[in-house]
Amino acid sequence: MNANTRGSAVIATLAVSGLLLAGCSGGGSSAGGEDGPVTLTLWHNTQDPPAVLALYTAYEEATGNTIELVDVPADGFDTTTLTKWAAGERPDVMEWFPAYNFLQQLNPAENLVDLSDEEFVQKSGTVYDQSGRGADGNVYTAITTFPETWGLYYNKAVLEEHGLEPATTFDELEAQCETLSSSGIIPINQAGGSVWPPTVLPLLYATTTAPEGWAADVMAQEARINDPDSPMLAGLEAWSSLKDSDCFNEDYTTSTFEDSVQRVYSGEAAYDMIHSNIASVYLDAAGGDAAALDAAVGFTALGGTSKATGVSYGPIGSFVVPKNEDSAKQEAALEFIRFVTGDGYAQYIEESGTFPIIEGTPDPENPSELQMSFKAAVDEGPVLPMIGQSLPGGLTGNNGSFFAQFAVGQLTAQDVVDRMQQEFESAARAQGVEGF
Amino acid sequence: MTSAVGRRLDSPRRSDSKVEMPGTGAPVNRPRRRRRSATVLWFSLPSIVLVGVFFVVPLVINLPLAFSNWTSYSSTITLDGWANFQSLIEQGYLFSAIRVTLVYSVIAMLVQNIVSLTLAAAMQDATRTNNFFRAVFFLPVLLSPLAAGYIWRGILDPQGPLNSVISVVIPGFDWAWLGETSTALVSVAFVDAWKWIGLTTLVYIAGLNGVPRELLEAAVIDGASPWTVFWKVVFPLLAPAFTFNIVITLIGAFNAYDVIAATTGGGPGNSTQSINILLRAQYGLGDFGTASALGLTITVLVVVAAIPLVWWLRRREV
Repeated sequence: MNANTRGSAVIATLAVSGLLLAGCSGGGSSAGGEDGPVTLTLWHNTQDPPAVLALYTAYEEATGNTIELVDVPADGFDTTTLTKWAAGERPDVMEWFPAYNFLQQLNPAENLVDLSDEEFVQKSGTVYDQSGRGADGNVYTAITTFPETWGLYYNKAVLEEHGLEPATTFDELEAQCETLSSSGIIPINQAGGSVWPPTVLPLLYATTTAPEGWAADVMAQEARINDPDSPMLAGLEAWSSLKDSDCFNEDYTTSTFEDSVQRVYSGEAAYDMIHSNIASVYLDAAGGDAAALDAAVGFTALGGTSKATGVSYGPIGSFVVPKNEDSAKQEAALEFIRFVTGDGYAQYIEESGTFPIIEGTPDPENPSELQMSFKAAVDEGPVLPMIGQSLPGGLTGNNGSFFAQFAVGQLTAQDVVDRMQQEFESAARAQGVEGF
Repeated sequence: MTSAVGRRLDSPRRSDSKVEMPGTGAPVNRPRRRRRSATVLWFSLPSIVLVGVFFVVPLVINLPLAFSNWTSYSSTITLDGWANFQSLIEQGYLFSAIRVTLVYSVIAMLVQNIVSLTLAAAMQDATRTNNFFRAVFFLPVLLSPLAAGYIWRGILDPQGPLNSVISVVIPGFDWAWLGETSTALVSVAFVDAWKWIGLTTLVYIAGLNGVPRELLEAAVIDGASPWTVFWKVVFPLLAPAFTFNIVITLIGAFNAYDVIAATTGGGPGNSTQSINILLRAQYGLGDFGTASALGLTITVLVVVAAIPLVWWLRRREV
């Protein structure tokens, strides 16, 4: 054993000791033995809509097993989950982002059950071409929810009163700002108080204007995030341009994403640039009245220079199964995956009113206009996976902190892309990507 | 505190323990002393175990991890030298977070101690009114720091009550206290100070009430002004209270997290991104090694600041 190996062994021992100390509370409890009912611990996002919660209950009723839900706050969901994960806690099932950059953070080849041979993978069309796979190409996530469709929620009455059509490009959006702001309407509500939402704008711009294969070129080190013609740089400049055109709310550094929802619903703001899975928050703003929401709020896809639809798959209704030495629990967890993608799926689709992504499942009977507009955005396309999903580090930099510094003038656009490149390289090295 | 009163109380115990058997040099009460030592050890044991398990062991474990390549991407952990610190410096995180933490801590410490001392002087006597206000000022101490943060986030909102009050004097005033880089850090430091003022006030009240009345009366008879009485008599005798309050508030503020998380989350930009806020963000990225490096940075800061500070403040004590 050489000195380096001995050092590694000492560190590993200390780390394991730490994890044991820290992980005393983790793991959840099992109610049953080998033959009896099993209690599964499930880490879930507190923004799970009622239909997802009903899916958990349906599984319990169908199997006799129990699900012990552990709430992970939607605000800071990824940070909280990874903090618990780092402390050695492991649930039996957990909601997690299926995108490559997030999935790799769990070191899936070592820690997660490979779901590649499960039936739902074959029945999900091209879904797993876009997401859900680790670096080794194996599927580690069961995705049940229609993709997050990125674009603009808008207040119908506000646009109609001003004789405006929903913007489908950034140029159209910028052109509407003066009309809206001159009559006291916030054109686009930016939610810097929630840190990450303002990153949507440059990311969406970059996604819909990047040359084909740009992310692959960055991975191959044939292009850099901080190149002068980088789409990310262009996205940041697009944000500045909109800001200079008075498109944003004055309190864009403190406003939260809940404020954006309230302001668009009430007509105080015209647009909110975010993804479709926030629809449940809009429904809450409408007091749970889907008809009232449909009457007030619409959704449109938005592209940089031409209409396009940025998509990703979010953590809501996306499940991974950590490896577990308790075979009864492991089997019950897989049974859960098969239920939510199989017997329980049709009911989930009907209750959620969202469109299915697993073949053989009928569409919901009475989908809301909002849900139909998400579907239309995807159907009309062109559909583009959100940029950064396939890059280590994900371009968000510390949950959007680079961009937050840019938004208040602490960093220039070039500073931001320089740091994104550094962070990308650092994450690639940590993942052991060849060439880094 | 080794005040005159303290020394008088201590002296009988010391002389009692040093009584020797004539002609032998051996203490008379050695078995009693041994029993007493054993009793002290047993009573101390729970504290020693708790401090060991929850402070010393994590500290020791964290030390090598700060110099390791530990990430969520891999289960292999190897020593990586100063790479974590280098990465934090290259990304512009480390010095910015240290600066924010230090500025935040100094502001919180100064505000807390100045206001507490003033309040303590005003509420020194245990009258019914003072007892009521002591309880009122202590209430924020009982609040969850997160709850306090959320309350102040509402108060400091551009459309919040603080600006509404100011608008009475300055119409249309709508300053974003937490949204402007120039005021966010000072604002959250004030919130932190507000949260803990009740506690430090109690310490100062106890200190003030420990100042012998006869000394104050003697100073007044000698013609000292109220300020001279305070500066020449009260202030030196309050030194132990100052030591406790300054060290506790400063070191406590080094660990700033909850109030900042609830008010600004580290923003706008990185204006309020303290070391602990950054540490948690690094966990969120799966960079556990750099997070450990930040943990070590706080430890070093505390040690570097606390030891000289305590040494210097203790020297002042009468």
